[in-house]
Amino acid sequence: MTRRACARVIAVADQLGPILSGRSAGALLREQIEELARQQVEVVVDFSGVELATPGFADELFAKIDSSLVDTGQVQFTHLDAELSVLRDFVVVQRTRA
Amino acid sequence: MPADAVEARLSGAYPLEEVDALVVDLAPLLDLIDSPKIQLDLRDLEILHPSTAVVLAAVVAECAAAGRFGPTSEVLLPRKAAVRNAVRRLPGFDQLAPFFSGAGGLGGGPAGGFACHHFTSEVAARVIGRELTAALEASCEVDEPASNAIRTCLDELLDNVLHHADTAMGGFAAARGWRKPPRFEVAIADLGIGVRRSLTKNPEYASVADDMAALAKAVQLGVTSTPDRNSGYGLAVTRGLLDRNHGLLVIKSGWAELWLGSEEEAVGADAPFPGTFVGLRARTNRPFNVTEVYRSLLGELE
Repeated sequence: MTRRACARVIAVADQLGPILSGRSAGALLREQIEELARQQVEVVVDFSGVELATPGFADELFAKIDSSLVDTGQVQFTHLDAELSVLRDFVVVQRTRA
Repeated sequence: MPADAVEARLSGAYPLEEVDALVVDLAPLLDLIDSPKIQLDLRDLEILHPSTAVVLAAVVAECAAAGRFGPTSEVLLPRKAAVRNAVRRLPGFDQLAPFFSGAGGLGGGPAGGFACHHFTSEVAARVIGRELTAALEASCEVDEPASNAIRTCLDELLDNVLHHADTAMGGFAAARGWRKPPRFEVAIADLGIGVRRSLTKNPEYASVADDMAALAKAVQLGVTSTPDRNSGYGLAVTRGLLDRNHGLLVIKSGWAELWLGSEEEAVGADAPFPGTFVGLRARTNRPFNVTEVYRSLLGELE
């Protein structure tokens, strides 16, 4: 059994500001999360203070991330408001069907 | 004017619905005839709409980059002071100062009511998306959902230029708001490879027959030339917003022009536009909520 290290919290708004925009920024955040996950770190991605995310950013983060990391709970997205939750569902379903 | 000069003359106004007339009038410059003797006559231009600003700036930048302004070239500035000053502030026009002549010359009169920006990178696109959104918040009545939707549209459409136009020249963007009636316009133009050439890079759309078929395909959710990277959101989400707002979305590329929103029409063009133009007009006293568009599109997918 693999033992996970303590959780690492990424405060997205502190790191990127309240507006999350651009594929490059989304891809960089996803790569940061996946690198921590490779080190067996549990990652909590906290969206407190985020006011807006664009579809391109959301696609890079929510839809392109290794879904097993989310399914197993190793990566958790927290404090997504209703708008962000709809956007996350939209980009995940869209890429799944593409 | 020298006998072998290339002359383009703009007059009156070219609102969003008349962008084809603008392209027709600029066609002598778009033809890229190898003549260093350009005369650009803007004396009778009476209004500088965002659509006019971005197309004019893109064409002039292309001509300037190709070294097509020579010693005998001439740019006749608009007679109206406000239009003249707005034109002089367009990206790249500062380099044309040696060719300026006609009414007014330097200074005088108020500045135009909006800015036109040139961008070639994602960093610049983010700054412009933020600045244009803020400018519209200040100039017309925009609530928070509409502000978020404007920013989303801008960022996605600006990124479309960088991801699909395939030109080092990048793109040009402008936005303007009005209080009565409360509305705004956004316009983005590039002189890249155009929608059809971009879309047919994806083998799934390699058989797209013509420019109009390419535009009709490009506004559908999930249609993109680069499916590994992109997801075909920008135009589809913008279309959804304009549908609900009963606004107008105009897309122009090659020999085709497509109107969506309150008026849905596929119209041919009287002159080809070598890149891509996207313009939109929305009322701010009607819904402009991007989350509602996501919900609707999600419902269609599930």
